[in-house]
Amino acid sequence: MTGLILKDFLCLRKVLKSYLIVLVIYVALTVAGVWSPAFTTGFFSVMAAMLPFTCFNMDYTAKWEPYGAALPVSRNKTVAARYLTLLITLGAVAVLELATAVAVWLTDGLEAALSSLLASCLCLGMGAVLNAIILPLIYRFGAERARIIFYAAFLGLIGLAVLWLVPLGGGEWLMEHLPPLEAENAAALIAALLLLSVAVCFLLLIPSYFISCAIYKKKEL
Amino acid sequence: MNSIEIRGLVKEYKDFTLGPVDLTLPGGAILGLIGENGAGKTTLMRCMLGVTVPNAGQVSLLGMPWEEAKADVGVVMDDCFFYEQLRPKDVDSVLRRVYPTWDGGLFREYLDKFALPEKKLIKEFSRGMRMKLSLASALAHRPRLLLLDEATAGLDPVVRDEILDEFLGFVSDEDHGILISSHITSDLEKAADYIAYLHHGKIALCGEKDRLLETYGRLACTREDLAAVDRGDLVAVRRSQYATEGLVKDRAAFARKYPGLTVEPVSLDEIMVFMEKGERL
Repeated sequence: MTGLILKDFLCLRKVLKSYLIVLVIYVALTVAGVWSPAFTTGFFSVMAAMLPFTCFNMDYTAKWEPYGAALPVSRNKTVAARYLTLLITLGAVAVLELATAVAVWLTDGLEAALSSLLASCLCLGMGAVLNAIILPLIYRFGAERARIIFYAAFLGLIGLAVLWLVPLGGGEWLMEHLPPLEAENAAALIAALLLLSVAVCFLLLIPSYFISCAIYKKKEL
Repeated sequence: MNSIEIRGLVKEYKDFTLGPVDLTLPGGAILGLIGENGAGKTTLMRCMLGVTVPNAGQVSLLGMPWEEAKADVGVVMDDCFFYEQLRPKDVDSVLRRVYPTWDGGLFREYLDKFALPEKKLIKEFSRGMRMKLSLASALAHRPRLLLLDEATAGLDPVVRDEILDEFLGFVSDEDHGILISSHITSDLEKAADYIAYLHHGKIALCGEKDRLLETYGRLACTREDLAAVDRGDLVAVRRSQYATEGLVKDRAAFARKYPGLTVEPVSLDEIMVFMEKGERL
């Protein structure tokens, strides 16, 4: 199984190198004050969350799946390797986000750091949730069809949210009902969100993994 | 011990059914699987490897169910399955973590033998180099059984000859076996011990290659001569405006029974054409 994870990262080498260059540029622009740290970390959470698509596309291009199935690795372990690749990637982004939050804390103070961490946790949690949904879809329909289904569902959810929020006054309603972020409240809220993100990450990826295994076990490759 | 035992294997699709297939390959031998495009060769290979789930039947490789035998089986498919952005040294790093018996030294020996640069990107390899890399990967974990699907297709005669020599060396150990599917029947005539001919999803012909080539024959005669031959003495016939030919199953017996008719040796290609295009009797 470690061989398959290594294979994913070796294949992603070029993509990851380009991400690294973008990261350096984004960090420089963030330090220069062009945009907030939350934007940079959020951007990389999204990029990390999209990496499984890239892996599946590379598998498809290389016609890897039939060969992969002939290797002495069970189909469940093959699926597990892909989920672990995702977790490693999200973990690396989490470390990056934590480092960013510490840097922001040292330069701009606690409140700014907590805001940055809050945004990071939300993006990270969302990345895990999106993958928990999309990975079984990819195993069932293939990367390209799953991407279309996913975007359709995603846009549908946004549409529903807008339809729900507009009659209530949209953003104003949210602003009225959200608690004010004072330092001590914010720290507690962020800690809770951080835990929640991690919990969502694990809780949703576990059933997602079992669904993917069930699909992949019967799949004709 | 038999390298391969297949019993009653069936795989059904909407428009095609493979089988039931029964096939046995003894140890220390090469079985050549021939058949026209779409005959089911790749489907059979995929069923043997668990890539495709058969509807019925049993597959035993090296005396074990296929799931247990996978670590002892080397696979080369009709295309190089490695990612173009990898290098042979990356393949080594990945597969040493997949196969418990992976031998990195042996892999590098094969890279040297096949003149494959270790650090060159696979996307820069020619088809011949890619197939050699696939073969090096299939051999470097010291398998006891090789399953090769069109492994020599698209290669020039020199490369094919090198690869066939590897196969012959591999089966010099009686514990080893090779199943190779190929359209290039001349390769199989050179290397295979047994031939199985898959026709429209069924095994139409199976046996020792030398015996098949010794016993089968091609009768070239007139329509009148053909009419005088018992249908039971022929497997198939081909009639055209200019010639009438028959595929004879037992050349020696036929010559004794019909001393006035000439029966010539027949190649695997000719047998395939008779079976595919001729009128089966």
